[in-house]
Amino acid sequence: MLEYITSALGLFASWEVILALVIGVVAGMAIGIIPGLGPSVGIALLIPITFSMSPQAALVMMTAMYTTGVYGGSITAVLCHTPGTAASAATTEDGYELAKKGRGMEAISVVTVASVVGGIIGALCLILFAPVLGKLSLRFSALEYFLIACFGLLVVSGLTGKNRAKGIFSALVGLLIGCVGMDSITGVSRFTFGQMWLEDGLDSTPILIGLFSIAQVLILVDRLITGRGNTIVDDPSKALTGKRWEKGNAKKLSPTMMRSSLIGSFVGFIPAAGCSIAAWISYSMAKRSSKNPEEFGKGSTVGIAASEAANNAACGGALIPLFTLGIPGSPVTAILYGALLMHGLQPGSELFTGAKAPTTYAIFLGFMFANILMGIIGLTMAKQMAKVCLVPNSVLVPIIVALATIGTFALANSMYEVLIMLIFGVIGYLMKIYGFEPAPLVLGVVLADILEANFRRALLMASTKGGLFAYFLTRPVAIVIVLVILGFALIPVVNALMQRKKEKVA
Amino acid sequence: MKKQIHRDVWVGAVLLAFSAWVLVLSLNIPGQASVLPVALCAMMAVCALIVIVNGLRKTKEAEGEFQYAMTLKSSKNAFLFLLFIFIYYLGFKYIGYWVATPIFLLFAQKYLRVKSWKVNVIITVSYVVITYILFVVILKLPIYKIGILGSYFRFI
Amino acid sequence: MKKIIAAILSMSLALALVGCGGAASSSAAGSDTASKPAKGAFPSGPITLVCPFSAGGGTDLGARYMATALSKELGVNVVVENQTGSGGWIAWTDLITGDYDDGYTIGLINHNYVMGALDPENPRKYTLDDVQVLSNQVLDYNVIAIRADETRFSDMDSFIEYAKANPVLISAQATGITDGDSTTAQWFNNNFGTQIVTIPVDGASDGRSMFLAGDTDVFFASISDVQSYYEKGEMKILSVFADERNDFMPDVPTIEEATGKSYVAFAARGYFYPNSVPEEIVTMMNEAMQKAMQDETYIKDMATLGLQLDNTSGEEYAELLQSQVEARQEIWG
Repeated sequence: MLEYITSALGLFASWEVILALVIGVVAGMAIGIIPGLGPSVGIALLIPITFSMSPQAALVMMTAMYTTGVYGGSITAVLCHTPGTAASAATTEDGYELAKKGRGMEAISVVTVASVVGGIIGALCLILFAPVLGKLSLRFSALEYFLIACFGLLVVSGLTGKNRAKGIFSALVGLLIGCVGMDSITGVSRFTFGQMWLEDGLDSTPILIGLFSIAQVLILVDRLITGRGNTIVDDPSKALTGKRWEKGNAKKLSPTMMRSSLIGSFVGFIPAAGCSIAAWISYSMAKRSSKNPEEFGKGSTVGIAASEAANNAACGGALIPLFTLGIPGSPVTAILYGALLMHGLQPGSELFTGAKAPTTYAIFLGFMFANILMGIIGLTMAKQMAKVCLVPNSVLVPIIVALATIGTFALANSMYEVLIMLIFGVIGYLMKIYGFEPAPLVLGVVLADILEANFRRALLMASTKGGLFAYFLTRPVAIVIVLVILGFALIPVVNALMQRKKEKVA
Repeated sequence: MKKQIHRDVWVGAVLLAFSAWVLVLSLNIPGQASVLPVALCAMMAVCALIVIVNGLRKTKEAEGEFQYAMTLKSSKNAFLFLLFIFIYYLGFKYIGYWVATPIFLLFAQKYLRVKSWKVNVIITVSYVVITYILFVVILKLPIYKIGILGSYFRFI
Repeated sequence: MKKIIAAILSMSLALALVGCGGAASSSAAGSDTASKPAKGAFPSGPITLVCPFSAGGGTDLGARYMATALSKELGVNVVVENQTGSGGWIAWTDLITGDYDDGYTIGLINHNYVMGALDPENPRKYTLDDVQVLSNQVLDYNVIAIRADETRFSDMDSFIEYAKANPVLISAQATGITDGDSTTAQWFNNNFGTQIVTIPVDGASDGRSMFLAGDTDVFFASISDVQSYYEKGEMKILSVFADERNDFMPDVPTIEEATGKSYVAFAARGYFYPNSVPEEIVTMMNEAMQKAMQDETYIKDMATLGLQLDNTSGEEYAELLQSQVEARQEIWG
């Protein structure tokens, strides 16, 4: 492998590749920042542009855009309560709370550092372990995907602080919305009211933008008109206090970032799970093992670090099954698959041995460099970016609306997505009034198909092997996942028991 | 003294009605595909009931009026602005993005009390130019297809 | 105020960078910046190729290669637009019912289009009568593949024996007459009494990974799906569903050679105009496409996709598509 890495570095020393890297990073950040656009749209739009480029340049640009697109989405999540993709939804509440308190620069720095750490660790997993892990992804099939989706859903429901019933209701509505459209298994149309454009179901991105961004826009407008606040930051005179990087942050956040990066790489590597599931699982784990869980949701840097490290690591992890087997690890990698084919890179073991290997490793290295470059740009521009919080809402709000509108249109070149965004903007605002969490709803939409279709597929597969339970017992990975879920659910119970023991002794 | 009922009770009732409505829709779905929606509706109904029960409990425990952080009544401004956004959407859809957007930006900034006309215009023009370059020239999105005046802004 | 200008300037800088990248892209010869094509010789302005599937997929790539070759032939910019949804029906319905009679918008059609009316859950309104077909682009014959290390059967006869006695799993993108692989399974069950069970999956790569992992027993797919695995020796192809052996895999028997029964099944992708486009334009475009498909770069690029090129056009093309409808109707009864 070392020889491949050295030849890969050789491939890198070309203007085309370096320029591709820089453009990928910058364009990726820009695209991530625009609400509605995100890495999937960006990469799909890049495909024709990279037609005539060399494979390594093209793929470096696209994988760079993948990770920086997720990062860009987190920046707007922090500054404007507008997650660029579902992967940044976990960062939104804590990040925005910090921005409101004038600690936006600090929040962005945490997002940046965590994203870079996550990205680098994801890249390392990719470079060092891809071929080995590739075979492992074959062990995942319908039953395992279903269990992972269950895990994701349990995780998010567990995060619904005060009002469990309301949070779970949100998640259930999300799942229901995810059922809109043609059923994957039987082709029956559900809840489509005869409308063709609904047959494919509702995409989670307009829902996400509506619930988080438009709803927040309405809140800002209300504050503005009633004279309670002109900018995102509650008190402009105290804005941008806090250093870029608090002294103890490295120590406080490192364990979280390490653990989250590993969780992210692994979840990303599971086909069909994506960056958003990784972010939520990681956030939830951080909250569960934290000594101050009440901070989460109110501006916890630990929470931000957990979510961000995981979502970028997941980008790297998702590339593993893509390159080794041609199985997309996440929806964005499904698009990258087409790009690979277009450039003559047929996924499989030959990508890692033989003539194409240097190209493959050049792409992986490019992914790692992209994360580093992203970090440099992010940290130097953190102050500038945080100044968005000082822009008067009277200017910011119309721009956000106009951008969200065209960004959402760009998703599928259709006005329907914009309409959905608006409808969910209203719903999001109402949810805010009456105390319902938007995040479980979004995750429900994302997970519904994975959950249901795979369960029914598993049933079909099990029917030829003696029933669901017998089938389950033959699959070690599924058993492991169930054990993890049980372990996760029992953490608070164990904590409570240990607490009681301590009290008894004392 | 008449006790005020916690609004969660009404909210829960609405949610319960919603669950019932979707349940009826779901039962009409043929075959296996109805299993999950029906199950979801059942669970939603349970949650809605819990919300109602909690609301009733809060009603009992409370003394005097409730102070909600946000209410429908206090949101008149928000809903008015929402109407503007919706009109903008209609403008985009039926007239075209590059006509509706400058109008919306100018109007919204004025409405939200941007003090100087100069700033307003500069922001609007910059935004339109930058997004046009990005979305039409570079990314070649088919925005020209939307709206009567859309095709005048095609760039190929 | 200053900050706002600074923000705008930096955004413009970023955009300029992206712009450089975008400008370095392929832009076909003879670009015309008129926003609406002037009346006069056709074509006098840019032409749009509407691809009903997402960018980066096999169909989309084929469309882009065609667009490049067609641009050279016609002298105007040919641009691919992706209009996805409902397995292609959003784009097809839009083209048929919309205002596209000037010939500047071409649609992409695949064999699923002709099956639409037969869909039991969702019968579609439009059939071949509602469009004028231009030329076909690729023809991808169906095959049946087994894993190279499969121990339970090794050739067609042993497979059929096994499948008669045991339930066998395959994956397909839908169950029923609208899907080719599902129909193949039904053909086997009808003709040989096999017990093939179909699991619906979301896409071809899902099906392939299930097969490679051992979760399904056999792989019904098309030549382009299995070509590289066949060459590497990781899959063994039991037969191809065509009347003649295929150049991509000459040692694989036809279904008739292997079983004594014939069944021709394939996937086809080509182009069409709505009925409202005048005949001269249809003929002109057809000729241009035929010439474009002779272009060397086009042939070389398409070869990377592993697809068999085909340029049946006009009446023959419509008949080709219709033949699949009839074949499937026979199987499903």
